[in-house]
Amino acid sequence: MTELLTHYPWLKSLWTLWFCLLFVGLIVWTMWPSRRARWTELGQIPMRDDADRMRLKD
Amino acid sequence: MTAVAALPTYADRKLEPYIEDVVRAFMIATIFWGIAAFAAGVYIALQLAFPVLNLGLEWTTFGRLRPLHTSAAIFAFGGNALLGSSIYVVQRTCRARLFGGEATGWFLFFGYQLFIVLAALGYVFGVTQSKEYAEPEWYVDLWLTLVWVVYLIAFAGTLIKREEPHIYVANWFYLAFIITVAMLHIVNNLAIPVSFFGAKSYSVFSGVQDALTQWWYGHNAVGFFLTAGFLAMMYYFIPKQANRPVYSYRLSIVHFWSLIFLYIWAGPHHLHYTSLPDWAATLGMVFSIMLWMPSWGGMINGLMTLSGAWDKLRTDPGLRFSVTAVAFYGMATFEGPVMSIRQVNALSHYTDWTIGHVHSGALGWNAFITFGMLYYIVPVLWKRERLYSDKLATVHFWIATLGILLYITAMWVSGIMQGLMWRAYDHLGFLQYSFVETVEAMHPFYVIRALGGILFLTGALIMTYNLWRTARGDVRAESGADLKPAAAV
Repeated sequence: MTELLTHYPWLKSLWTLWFCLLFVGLIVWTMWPSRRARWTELGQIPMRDDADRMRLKD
Repeated sequence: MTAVAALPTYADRKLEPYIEDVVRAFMIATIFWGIAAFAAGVYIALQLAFPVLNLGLEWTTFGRLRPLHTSAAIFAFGGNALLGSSIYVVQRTCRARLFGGEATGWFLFFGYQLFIVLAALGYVFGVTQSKEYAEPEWYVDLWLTLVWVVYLIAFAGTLIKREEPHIYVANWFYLAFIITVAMLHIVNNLAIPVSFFGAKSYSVFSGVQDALTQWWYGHNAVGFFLTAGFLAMMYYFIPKQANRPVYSYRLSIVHFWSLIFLYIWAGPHHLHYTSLPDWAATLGMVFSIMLWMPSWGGMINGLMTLSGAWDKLRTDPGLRFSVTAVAFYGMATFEGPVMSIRQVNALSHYTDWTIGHVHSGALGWNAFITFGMLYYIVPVLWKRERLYSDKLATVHFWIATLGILLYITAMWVSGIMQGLMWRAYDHLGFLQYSFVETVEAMHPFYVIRALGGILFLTGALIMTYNLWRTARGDVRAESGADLKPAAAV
């Protein structure tokens, strides 16, 4: 237990490292060139939302 | 990776229509509370210029009406716009009816209005807990928590039952807004009531922990309520108005994650030169500076969506509001980090500069993006071809823009002057000015600021008339309504 407590200060700082890695990983994943076309395609989602559906009500 | 779903044919499928009645109610509430918030703002601006308007009554003093104004603007006007637009956007971009149906929608609507009324009564009658932007006492906080959890369930439930395989980025921003606000609200309002049937409570935090929790809440209310939520509007409504997809969807993902990772640390910049340790305030300041990157990335993304369609700015006054809002977003998010720098903050803090900064964000960014959304959504929701009058919308645009400019320039001059007067020493080392001399010097700028507010309010009243006539189905005969852009030579 005391052993663990002595390591606590530097173990705590691993959070910073983990967050940095997570963030950099996310950015790299997003910017990966092969995903570019897929992102462009997904940007179209609001353009395809349908007015049709509301007409069902009438 | 799955391909984007082809547009399903709804005619031969028994799909329930989207819920729109609730959204319509939220839009009416947005306009109603907007007018109330702007009117309260004009009144307290006049109180500062002419103190006699405090009327000598405790209920109408500046101290009680000021938080009434800020809460009405942020939570009543902004909140209704966010709740309503999120219900609209999540259904359409997920191609799914709101989870929980009409009943949940109406509970959210009336539950949220009840929260607003309870909060407002608390302000006027002095039942508050001395936490800026979180003044309502424990019973109001508990009610809002319930409404908010139902909101989260309805929103997340709609995401879960979506037909569109991908969750469009606007929904990520809305979801971040809903989850973070829940977390901020619950933690900052942890309190122990003094008695079972009394309104009074005490916060579980005290001293500098209380201050840090409060500004962790306060700044992230700006970051996740006033920024993330309204960015969700930008990412849906600007593409719809410009009729083209967002400039870079990839950049919008980077924008999202950068904001989420950075914003949550920026709060301590509100506590420079206090008992908060320097390292904590410096941390807040460094993260605030880093926020320049996602903010400007997002601004560029919003503005560049117009590329190839800039002519629409001339013909679509709603889009003009949205785009100007993004420009103000860029300006306010540039100014904010500058003010978070300790040495700049030494001059700006506690002065009118802060008020000017807040209003370039609140009026220029939040209100304008909401007006842009309203000019788009009202004709859609009430099934009208077009607005009652584009000309009136144009008048609204210019009168409101002029109002904002008067407001923020007056506050820059007044605030910097105030800061400089406070720190001026004479040759013997005594303070050169007494406090009342600074107040006297600020009087003309208070009058200009009130004038700016009156213009902004007038614009909003014109919008209300225009949208009311639009909803009724009237169309004003206007020359040049079908203006076409000149062909490029």
